[in-house]
Amino acid sequence: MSDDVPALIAVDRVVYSYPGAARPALDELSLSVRSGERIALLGPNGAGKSTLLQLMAGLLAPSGGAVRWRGERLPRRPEPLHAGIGLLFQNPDDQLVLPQVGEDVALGPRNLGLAEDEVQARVREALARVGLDGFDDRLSHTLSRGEKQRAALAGVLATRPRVLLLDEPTASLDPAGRRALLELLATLTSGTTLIIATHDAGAAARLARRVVVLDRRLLGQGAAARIFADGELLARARLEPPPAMRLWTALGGGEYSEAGPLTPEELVPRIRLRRPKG
Amino acid sequence: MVDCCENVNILIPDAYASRSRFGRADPRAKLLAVLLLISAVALLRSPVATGAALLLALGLLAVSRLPLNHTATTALPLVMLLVGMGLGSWFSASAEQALVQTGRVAAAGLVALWLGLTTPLVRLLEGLRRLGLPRSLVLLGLFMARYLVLLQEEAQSMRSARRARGISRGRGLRDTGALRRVGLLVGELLVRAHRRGLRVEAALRSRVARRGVVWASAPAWRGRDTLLLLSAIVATAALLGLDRGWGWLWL
Repeated sequence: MSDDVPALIAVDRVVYSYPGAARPALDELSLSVRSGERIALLGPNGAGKSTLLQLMAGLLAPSGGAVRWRGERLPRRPEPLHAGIGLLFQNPDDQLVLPQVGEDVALGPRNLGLAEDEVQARVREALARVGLDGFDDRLSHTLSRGEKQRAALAGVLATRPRVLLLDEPTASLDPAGRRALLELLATLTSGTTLIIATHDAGAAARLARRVVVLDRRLLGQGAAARIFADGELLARARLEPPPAMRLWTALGGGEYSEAGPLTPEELVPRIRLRRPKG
Repeated sequence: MVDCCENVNILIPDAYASRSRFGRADPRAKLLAVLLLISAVALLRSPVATGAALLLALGLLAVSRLPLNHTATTALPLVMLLVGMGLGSWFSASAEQALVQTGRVAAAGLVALWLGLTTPLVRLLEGLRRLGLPRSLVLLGLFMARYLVLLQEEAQSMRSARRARGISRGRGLRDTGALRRVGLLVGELLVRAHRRGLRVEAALRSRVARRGVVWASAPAWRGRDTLLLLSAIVATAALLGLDRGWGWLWL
């Protein structure tokens, strides 16, 4: 992509402080996101990942610096919905605001001003994509945590966002739920810009091509393989490489390196190659 | 870990509502019909008319295609209330008056129950808004229905955590320690509710337009809604005619 094309989202030396906080949640952080990119934001607790997502969505206004969408500074009260930005919050209970799942998924499309037939079609499609067919009439509070997470994602997908911001989507999911969600996200996001904030290095390795490490400030960014091979950077951010890379090293595959496997799919053939024949 | 589903299903009409025979009817027609019927029931004085109103209410529930178990479970608190009221009025009034009073409360309660059981909450609130209820009250109702359950869950988990650390339940109102603990629980719940409110507001802003929240489809008034309302008017007139004599209707 040409450098002349303005970034889809540009975060320029942004500072953000929560009221009463002793130090800013984000301090002079800059980041540029191009259309169609898949980025993972990694960092320890309190690193400002969720804050950064909300700033990018226009839900928070920076205390200093600027956030730009397609080269334009955000208006005072931006509308993420009409800008094609969908944000999945960390806790689905915060996001499912209506008692019935179908009504909640329909909230975004209805507020886009779509006709009711189109709204219902989008609700059916979004619920089917997240594997919740027939959940329209279910009450949100009776769902399991994983189902709530998928219902909340359906609510975001129903608006057909061009930019999908996901805040810790795999947190507190069981292993099967985590795997299902990652598979779903891997298939959903072709052509969509994806920014995922997570502690889960495995999820980041699977979904993102670029990894951004932050701890209130930008600590480093680059291709996933390069970032996960940088032990010093990971230690500074209290992070660990993906399980596949750790296992490869434990099996004697060598130190963490850019050539190391990031996902189980990359790890398995290497183990097979090393296995003594016969 | 608190089980999400052990809570009472407070304030929230069940998902059966949208699948019931009247689930897709315009909520305004149902609200107006119920208002008419309850007003008529409140005016009844004769046991015969009260009995007819009771039969009408039961008939409405019977034709609504609601699961019997679900209807019976939801109606149980109402039945208990009626038994209590009925018993109370037998001491303070004649047998006939007590019978009529119990019947009236039963009929009105069952008609209201029919409305609740056949109308999804979001549609019911949208109907109320279109009949003039302020938007802010409707939104309040929506959020209460969704988040009271979560507050209840949080209160339960806080109580469990307290017990796990050996803090007892207390021994009634004279136990000042218990009162202090209840105060702390309520205070903590308020703080949590405030924090959740901020997060919900942010989540809501990410999915709604600035001009205001659209939470339900605009109800479409159809021929069947007119028929429902006309039926309610006829039923109201018939009940009053039966109660006061048919000549009363022409006055």
